[in-house]
Amino acid sequence: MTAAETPDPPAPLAARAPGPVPTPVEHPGPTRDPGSYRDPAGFVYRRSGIIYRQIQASFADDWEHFTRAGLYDQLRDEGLILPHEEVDADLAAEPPAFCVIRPEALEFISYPYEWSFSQLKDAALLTLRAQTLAAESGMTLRDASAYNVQFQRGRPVLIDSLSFERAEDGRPWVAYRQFCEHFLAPLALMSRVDVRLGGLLRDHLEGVPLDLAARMLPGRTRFSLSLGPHIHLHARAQRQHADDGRAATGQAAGRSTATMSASRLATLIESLGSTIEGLDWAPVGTVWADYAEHTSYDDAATAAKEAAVAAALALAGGSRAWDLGANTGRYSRLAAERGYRVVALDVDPGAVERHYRRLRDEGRTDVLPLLADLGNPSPAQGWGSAERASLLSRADADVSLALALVHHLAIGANVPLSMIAALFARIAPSAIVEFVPKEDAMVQRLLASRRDIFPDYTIEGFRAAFRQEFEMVGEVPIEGTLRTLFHVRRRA
Amino acid sequence: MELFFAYIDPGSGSLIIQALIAGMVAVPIFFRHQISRFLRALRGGEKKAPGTLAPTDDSSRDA
Repeated sequence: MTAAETPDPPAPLAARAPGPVPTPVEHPGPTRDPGSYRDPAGFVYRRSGIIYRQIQASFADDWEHFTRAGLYDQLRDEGLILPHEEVDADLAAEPPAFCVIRPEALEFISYPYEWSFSQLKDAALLTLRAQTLAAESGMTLRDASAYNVQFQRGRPVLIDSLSFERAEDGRPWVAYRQFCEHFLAPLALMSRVDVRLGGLLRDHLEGVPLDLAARMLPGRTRFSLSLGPHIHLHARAQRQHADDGRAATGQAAGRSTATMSASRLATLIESLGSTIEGLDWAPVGTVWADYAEHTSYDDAATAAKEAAVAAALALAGGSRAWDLGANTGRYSRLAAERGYRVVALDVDPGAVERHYRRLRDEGRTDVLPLLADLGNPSPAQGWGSAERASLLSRADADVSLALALVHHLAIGANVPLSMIAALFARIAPSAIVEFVPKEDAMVQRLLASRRDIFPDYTIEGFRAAFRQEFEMVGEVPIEGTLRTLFHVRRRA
Repeated sequence: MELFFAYIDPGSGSLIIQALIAGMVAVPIFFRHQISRFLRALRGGEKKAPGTLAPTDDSSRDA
């Protein structure tokens, strides 16, 4: 997966600022992306805070075909690929390079295990659409990694411009296995078994093994004309041919005999498309999906809270916000409407799903909902623990919002207030935090089934804990509630 | 056949089974095409050719 492409952790921050293509006056050492090592055709690196991709001479013919025969233009015009511009080959990290491109800077890097069901589904359909267009241009996708997709302005785009090679008649789709493992298997498990199985992607960075998916899927899916062949039969074939390489000399026997016409390939892609389209998941019954609609306060109190948050945001400044415990995005929207680019994190797959669908339906481009558990945020993973950056190392916000969240962390998860303050201080230099006291109905509900072991959970305790990390900028009681909105700024 | 740029392991089983799977799934896809052709003829309207994968919601939204 070239998209190992994923720029390394600090890259997106530094690369975000748009600017002119720098002239190669000086060449401070380029640093290769720690995830960009699999593909010999090229690699991603960073130089002076800007992300580049070097394309090797061995891939020149395919690259020329991709860029000159119209496929790249078509993908770009349909908004399916991250646009790039060709820059001076002198900027190569390891000369000689066939050419060097500078892809548009990504707003934020996220990973498939942080996406909701529909985000992964849209990424899958994007991948198949790219393969269909490629086939029409005499090319083919040579990988189908979910890590080749990122969300940019609210929509999934392919970020690996080296994924296309010229098609050879009779050749099967080399990315079929990867597509099934990265997209089809997790989507099928999320749809047919339990949406939380999307979390398997965090454990299996190379995709969900098909034999594992086959064992977990309901038995009846073996007889389906979609999941039956693409997962069950496919898994069986993998098992049967697992030892092919041992018997063959040189090329594996299977590889030299497998052939498939272009029309068969088109049928395969179409079938994968209708299979993915047929997988659905409706977020009902998850814990938080209905929460925003069933809050404990009335319209006047909600309006008061919105006004207080808006006033705090106006004071906070900056351009990027993280909404922690965003639910379905009421306050993410409030921030976005005030010019922030928002990353909206929530622990509940149903809330993230609803939030994403709503944004997609409305065509909003400035909020990215992601699945994240603040109690266990995505770790640094992959080779050398450097391929996939941890969530906290990607924190790029100027301000964080933590509304109706602290009581869930403090009382729901036993996290001391001082540790909550320390985490918020890591995430952003400014924070807008709602304190919900014990007398509040929502906290009473949390305490209903357990002993109250939280003597320090008071507004005084909150102030003391947050003063260790922050200076108090504002403290506003939210009218019509027992709650208080704090605006704090990290100590210099 | 050489797979010059197959830098990922396509998997022997995955390569071999593809043609068979494409054959299997061709049957429902054939009928789906026939049905949509029939419906189109019934409506007499012009629609997108069958067999082309529709763009995702996202790709068509702000095109």
